Amino acid sequence: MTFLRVIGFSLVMLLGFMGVSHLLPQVEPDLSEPIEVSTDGLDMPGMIALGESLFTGKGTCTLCHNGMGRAPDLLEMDLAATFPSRLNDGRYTGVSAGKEGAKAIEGYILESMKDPSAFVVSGFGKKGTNDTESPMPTADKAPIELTVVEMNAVVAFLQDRAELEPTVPLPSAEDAPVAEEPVETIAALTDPVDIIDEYGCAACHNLNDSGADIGPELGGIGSRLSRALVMESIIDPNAVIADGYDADFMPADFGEQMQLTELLLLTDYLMALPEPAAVSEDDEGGPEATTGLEVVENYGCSGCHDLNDSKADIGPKLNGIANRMSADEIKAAILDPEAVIADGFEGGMMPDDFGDEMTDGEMALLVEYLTNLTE
Amino acid sequence: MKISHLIALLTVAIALFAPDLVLAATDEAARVLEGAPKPSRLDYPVIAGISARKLAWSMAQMHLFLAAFVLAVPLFAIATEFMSVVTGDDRFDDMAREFMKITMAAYSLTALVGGGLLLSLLVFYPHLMGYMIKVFRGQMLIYALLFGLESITLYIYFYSWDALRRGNRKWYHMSIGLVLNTVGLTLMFIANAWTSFMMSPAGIDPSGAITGTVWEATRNPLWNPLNLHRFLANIAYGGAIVGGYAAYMFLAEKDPVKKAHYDWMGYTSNFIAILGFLPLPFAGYWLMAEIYAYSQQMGITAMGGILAWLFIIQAVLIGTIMLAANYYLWSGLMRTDRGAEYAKYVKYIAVVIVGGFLVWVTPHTLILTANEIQNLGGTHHKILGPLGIMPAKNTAVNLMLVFTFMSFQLFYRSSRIPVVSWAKSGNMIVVALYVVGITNIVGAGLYGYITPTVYKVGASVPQVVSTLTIIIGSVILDVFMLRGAKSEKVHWGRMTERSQYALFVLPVAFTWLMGLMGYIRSSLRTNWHIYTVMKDNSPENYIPSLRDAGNTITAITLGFMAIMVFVFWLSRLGKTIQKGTTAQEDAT
Repeated sequence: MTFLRVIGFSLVMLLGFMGVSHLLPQVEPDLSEPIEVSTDGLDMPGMIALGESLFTGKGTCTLCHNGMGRAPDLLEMDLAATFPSRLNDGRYTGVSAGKEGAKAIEGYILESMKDPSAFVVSGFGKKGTNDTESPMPTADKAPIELTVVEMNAVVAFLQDRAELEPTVPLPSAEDAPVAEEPVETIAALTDPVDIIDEYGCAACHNLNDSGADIGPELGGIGSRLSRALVMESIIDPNAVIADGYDADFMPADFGEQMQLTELLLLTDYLMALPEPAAVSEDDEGGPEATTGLEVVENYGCSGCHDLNDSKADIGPKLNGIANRMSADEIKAAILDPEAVIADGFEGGMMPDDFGDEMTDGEMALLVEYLTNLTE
Repeated sequence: MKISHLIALLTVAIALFAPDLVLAATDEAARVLEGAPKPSRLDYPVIAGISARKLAWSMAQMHLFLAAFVLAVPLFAIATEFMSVVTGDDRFDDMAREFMKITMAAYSLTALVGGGLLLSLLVFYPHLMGYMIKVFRGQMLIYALLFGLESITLYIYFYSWDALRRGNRKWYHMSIGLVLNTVGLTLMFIANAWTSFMMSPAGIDPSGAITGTVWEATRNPLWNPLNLHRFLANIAYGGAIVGGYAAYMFLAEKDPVKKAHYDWMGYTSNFIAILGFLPLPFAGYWLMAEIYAYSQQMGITAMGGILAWLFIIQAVLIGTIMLAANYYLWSGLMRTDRGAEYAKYVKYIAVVIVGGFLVWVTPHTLILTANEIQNLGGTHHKILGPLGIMPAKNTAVNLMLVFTFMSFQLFYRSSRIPVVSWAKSGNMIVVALYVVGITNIVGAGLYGYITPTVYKVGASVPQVVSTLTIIIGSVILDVFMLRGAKSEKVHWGRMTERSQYALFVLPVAFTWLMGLMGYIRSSLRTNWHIYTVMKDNSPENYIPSLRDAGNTITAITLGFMAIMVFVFWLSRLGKTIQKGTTAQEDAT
């Protein structure tokens, strides 16, 4: 009996420890093989966009270059003023010492990636080395292993942040393709359709017959924009606004959310989209919705709101909204979304013309539908 | 020729010949400047759908558990044997012998599982093993030779116990034990060299070409921190398992004399377990500091990246160990008549231990949905969030260690009344040590909140120094103050049954914790067999999720528990005499 009690007690304890490992947030491993994507044809905006993605992704730069004090916070500091002061620092004796201009800064940044100890900013050296030895790993060596094109892209990104015209060479067909290594073992999507689903592109753009028209039509975009501009539009959507559309509608953090290969695959997919079929006058706007769910689908609400488990988090969750708001308040929020911004969310994200776009009947159906949505 | 002389000769022979093999500046393999192999995914054998990684993982972890046990028990045995000589108390000697008997059965199982590990690595990771053999060349042969030597000394040490029990012969016996432990520790240090080389390779160039000696590869940056960490952990682990055995025997025995013996054994084992455990966080701190110094990326992966959540599980486990060990010590106060006088302090100690535990398990950044962030007003809880960062956790762990030591001190004091003239002043100095030390620990913790991240780490140093000062200072003072003290009777066996379950918590939690640490250490290499030198391109080169790791560690721990039950059963079987016969008949 004693034996059974002891074994039972030990088993309960073991299950308890195992249970804790199940309760904690899980990072699912990446089981896919690395895929390679060509960088051929990228122009400078594309290089800048690629550089940003590398800076926060494969390059693992933001592990230390952040506000925690391990390395200079390159994303927050005034790089336009910082780079020239570095080149003129009396302790700096590297390839660009005493020089000026964007080309010298290119040399300085490249040197700092390939030989981080060539110049260590005061206070950021290894302990006990009096700032003569940098703790930073060499970017083109293991475990980071950035290619020449990738390092150039990071330089272009940093030059752009310093308000300089990037001076790095553009990639060619002979350059090695980029291959994304799992940085945090979160699986990168390898199918562009999955990428579109994951990031909810079709909620605002007319993609995969979604019919959405909050953002510009993407069919035939390859004939209107270069590959680099398409990439830039994904990462920095406010850089160029298409005619007839407003700024600040598209989330500006896809560059941080997407992995590098996802960005390149999505760009290639969009570039290959055929021109959309001509739409007759009669078809414009489509038939009026007859149920609340149809209104939700036609106007792409679940692209930004977590609705029926869509998991979108740009706007507040809509399931159970009736617990927080009355029907009149819901209607007011649709008509004038800027009037009250829910805590934890930003203004300027939701279109303010739904009042013009929807018929009164559609509005009534939508409000009724939302009011009856359970958690 | 006497046995001890033979062993001495063997030791000298190893010492003379080993350096030639271990420290060889160059040899045939070293002259070939060939990089590490680069196997593709297809180069990894797939056999009958067996998960190569899970098999190697299970074998390695099981071997480590058993090896830690068979390494720890001889350490434990020689220490207790020495105590029996110093105190003249035969209980120490009997206990050491009893445990060496168990080690005999566990030893062959350790070798068996070690063979399984080697086989699984050779079959499923041939390129890695080929390269490792090339790097460590003669050292692997020395490992095999030492293993043979350890077997010989182990058998001699155990079977000569009664023959070399009294007088000068006891010193011969302890010398054999010393050789046994030296060989055992050397084996562990060699195996640690291979493991740490995979994390922080040395003696090779960036392509993996061998440019240095075996000694350079051995003395890689993480070797010594790992040696110290595992050495201390083994002592704690050995103590915990022996404590579990003693607790089981205490519960199973009806005879009050035997019950008293196993109660004493449980207390002594718990003492040794906690003795090894108290400096363990500091050894872990050194290991992590060296990891950061070697590769900042590796350090951040552990502490701030995808593995950061593991340290919440670690906190749960260590908190459980601390609570159980303290509970056992508090229960022990009932063994002495003056224990009740000290029991009034227990509630305050309990508040600190539980409070420290809660702080340690508080995460900093919470994984939340947008709605939860909205309700909370951010990803960090306004009140509890600050408890998730390092200054709070360092403060918590140091206070937990200080108060665990205090629990020990209370029990120790409960059976001794100081008779020295300066006892009152001495007690005041002890109290002052605690007050100043605790104030310093809390103050340095608060300073951590107002200083940049890089200095936060530095703020933990005075905390560690304070903790060590309290412990070492109190021990030194007690040694002098309790010299010739009036001893009170300790009623061994006067313990509740419930208290014995605290002694089961220790080995189970320790085993799971060691499995978790193995998972973390191995995961730090991410998708590299040998960090930055040889990539792991196998289909299972990813870091398993916490859920999968938790399941695997639990399964391995269960397997180990089953083995230990078998080993304990074997040792009891050896004492069992067939009904109707006598021990004398059995001997003939």
